[in-house]
Amino acid sequence: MTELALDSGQAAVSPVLAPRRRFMALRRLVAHRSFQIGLCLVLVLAVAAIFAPFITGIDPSAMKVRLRFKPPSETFLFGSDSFGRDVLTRVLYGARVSLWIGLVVAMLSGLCGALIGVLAAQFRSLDALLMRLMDALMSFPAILLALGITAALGPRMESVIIALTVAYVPAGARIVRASALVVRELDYVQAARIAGASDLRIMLRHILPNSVSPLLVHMTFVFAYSILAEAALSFLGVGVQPPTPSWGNIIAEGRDYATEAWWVMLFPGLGISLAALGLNLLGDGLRDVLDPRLKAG
Amino acid sequence: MIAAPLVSIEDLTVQFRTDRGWTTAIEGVSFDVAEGDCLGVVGESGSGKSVTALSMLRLHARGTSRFARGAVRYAGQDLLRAPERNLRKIRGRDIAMVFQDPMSSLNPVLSICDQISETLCLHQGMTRAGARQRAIELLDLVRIPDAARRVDEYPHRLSGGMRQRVMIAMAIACRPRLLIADEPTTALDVTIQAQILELLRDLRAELGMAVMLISHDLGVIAEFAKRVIVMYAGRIVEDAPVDVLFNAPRHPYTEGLMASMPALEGGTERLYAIPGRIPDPDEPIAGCRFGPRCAHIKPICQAAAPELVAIDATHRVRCTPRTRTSDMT
Amino acid sequence: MARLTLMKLLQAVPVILIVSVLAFLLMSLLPGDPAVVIAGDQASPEAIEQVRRNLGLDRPFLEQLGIWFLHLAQGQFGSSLMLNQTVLSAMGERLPVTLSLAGLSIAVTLPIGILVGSLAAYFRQTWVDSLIMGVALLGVSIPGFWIAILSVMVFSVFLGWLPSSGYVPLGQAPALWLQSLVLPAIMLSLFQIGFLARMTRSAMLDVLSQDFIRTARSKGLSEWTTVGKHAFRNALILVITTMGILLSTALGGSVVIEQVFALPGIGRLVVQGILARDYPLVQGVMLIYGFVFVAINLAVDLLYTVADPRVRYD
Repeated sequence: MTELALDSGQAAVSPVLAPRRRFMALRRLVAHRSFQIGLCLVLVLAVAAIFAPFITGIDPSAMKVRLRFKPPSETFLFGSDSFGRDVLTRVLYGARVSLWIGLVVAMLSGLCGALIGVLAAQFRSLDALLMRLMDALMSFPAILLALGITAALGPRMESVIIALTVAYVPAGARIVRASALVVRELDYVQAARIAGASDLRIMLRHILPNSVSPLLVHMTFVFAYSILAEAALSFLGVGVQPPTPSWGNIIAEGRDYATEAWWVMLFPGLGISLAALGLNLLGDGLRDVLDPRLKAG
Repeated sequence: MIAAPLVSIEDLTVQFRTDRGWTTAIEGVSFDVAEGDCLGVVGESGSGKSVTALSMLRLHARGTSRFARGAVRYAGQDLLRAPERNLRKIRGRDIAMVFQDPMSSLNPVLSICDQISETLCLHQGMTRAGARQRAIELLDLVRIPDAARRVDEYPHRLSGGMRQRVMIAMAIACRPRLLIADEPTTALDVTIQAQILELLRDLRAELGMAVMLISHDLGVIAEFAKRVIVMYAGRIVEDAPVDVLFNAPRHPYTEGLMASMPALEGGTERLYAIPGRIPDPDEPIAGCRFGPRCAHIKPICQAAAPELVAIDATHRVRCTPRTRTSDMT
Repeated sequence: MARLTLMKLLQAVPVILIVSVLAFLLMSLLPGDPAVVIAGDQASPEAIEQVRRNLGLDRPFLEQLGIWFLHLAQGQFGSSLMLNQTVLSAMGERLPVTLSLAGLSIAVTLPIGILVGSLAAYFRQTWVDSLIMGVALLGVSIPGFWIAILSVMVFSVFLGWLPSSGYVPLGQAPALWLQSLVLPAIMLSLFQIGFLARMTRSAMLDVLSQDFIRTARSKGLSEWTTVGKHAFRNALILVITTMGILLSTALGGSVVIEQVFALPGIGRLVVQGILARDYPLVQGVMLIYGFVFVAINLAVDLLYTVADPRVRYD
């Protein structure tokens, strides 16, 4: 939730690469070790989530009370929970929820952040107002803000999405604004302005595309932190409500009988960790390639 | 009896690691720096001048560079192979360096006093108070006005020319025997350039130190140096006293350089430019590396790489046709 | 310098105002009639009316906003419905707990994070770097509450070394106080250390590639001086800007950690308030946290100007 704001502080601006250089950058990206591992992890999880109904063929809410608390075995690969439900299936369906929320939050907050950032950079009059608003939002710890909003809107998946989006928009807006401020002073943008291009055209065709690479890196990290945040919210009971499985609320349920059936708690936690790990690696790879000034290795 | 040179560079060959393996940046560089020498090293970007200078103090990054061959001899030691702690005693005290961009070469968060005092406290064991006093004297020496006040300021508050003076003050603080100045005037305005060069000249006279000035600007070299080394594609191609170099150059490359300088008097003809471009370090060229661009190329030039040959006591040239007795006119 | 401070203070004022409005708007997010939501499903119409009048929800919007600001100016941050206390006093009682937790966690995070990140940068691309960054990566990827639960199982249930829950005030028994906080503080700092290590490494790498490091070496300075003095002072600037964010994560993370370890802190209070639909309490806590962070960000900003001479006089 916070690595983002710092990435924003360091964000360098890379002008839109000419087609050949873009190709070279893509090649470097694909060859980058972190990126490869991250992409693998994310793809595996994504596939598992998308094809969840077909992998086990079991209904996640099907209860077999006679078979409750069974440890991992052939019938129940990840064991069964207190209601005799298959943990593997629930974890897969939970992946759907958690990954979906993370993706939507990353996209929405990125979009809104980009919009606000570019507007703030282009129109000085809006800048002060928008940035003070962003500062105000960033004055609340992200989890707390999300808690408050989710609590007010009612604990549901949609509330979590809105709450987390609101929490992460300010960081994205700051990043885009920082980039845009630099880009708008570049020669070719000045040239476009002199040639009479309208503000809108300048924003869309010149500033936005060139401010986008630090934002892409940021959005990848937002995806990771949204997954962690949503898990925390669902764990606390203010996020996705049971019986809809989310990695967070499965852990909450499993906690109550942790000593008897440790497997219920273990696997969703592993899922969260792997998803966040994969996305962080992806983000690192993107950052190393897109922002050579920040190159970590 | 010729005195032993202060620093002797022998067959220096430095390689850098790139995506495509190790590429040679400079090869077979050999020259001496005498006490009180006034040496200029000239060449285009990428000719290896800076690499040579940094090698003399072994300042290259360790993982990505290596010394394939050669030695840098000073005070009976080979600086390329000496232990780090020996090298640290020499750096800043016996041999000092001034770098090209004074803004990025000075630490932005430390005061000028702090940065100059460091060497004084380290190499001469001065106290903080003593070093501060000496720092003010040094700033006076490099002609920074209002030194007593300026000494506590931070680099970003000074103009480019003043920052370069600060760098020079820092470098001469311990009265080094050799000062290496890597493009000290390149980042400065022309008028400031002249002042800095004059400063370097006067300091050399006052402190009796040798100065090795590196530049791509022939005007600067002509103005300052007494002896000039010309580098091309990582090799020395000519080494001569300054008036000989400018009036009677031997190597075709040097001739080309001289011809491309715009003359003050003279007409409005097009500026001459040496055709072609500098080769990539790993570009394979048979024989002389200047060959492809040379107007006087002969078969022998491609057959074997030319050696650096002394055509008299003070003049060395790396060009086979120009150094063969039968071709000398 | 004073002028800069004044400017920053002035800039903080609109932020505080917006924070206040945002906290106020929290109630407006409630779907439907807030009074009904708060009073609960089984409440009688009279009870609902009572809640409505108590919370001033029957007044027009702007009037409510005005009363909100009036109360703020008087130092009233609202009252908790379930606790029958003012928000301030409820928070005050629980402040030592949260402060101890966050404080211990930061005290652990700072030295370890900075040291480890610097080591990774100095020994870049060696096994030291890979190891440290690998662990740091795990730190920012593994969910804190999950590893906390696992650690409780290992250290409390199986090994019995540390208590699984509960808080002992410092004044009562210092040793027990520490014991009750060791595990929670460590769990809280896992993410922070990973985060700080990554940031520090990145900052140090950037600084170590700068020209003035080469200048320092060319003066004959030892590696220790070059890195410890020249490099570090520059990287420190970036680390300072991390401070505000570290505090923010610490307080945010403490919400979950307090829940896992049943520590009676402010985070736990917020969660209880949410589950009990005590929205005035939630509002009040969010508001106070907001103010606190505006102050913290201001302090960090000013600290930054102290550390970096370049931003001082302009």
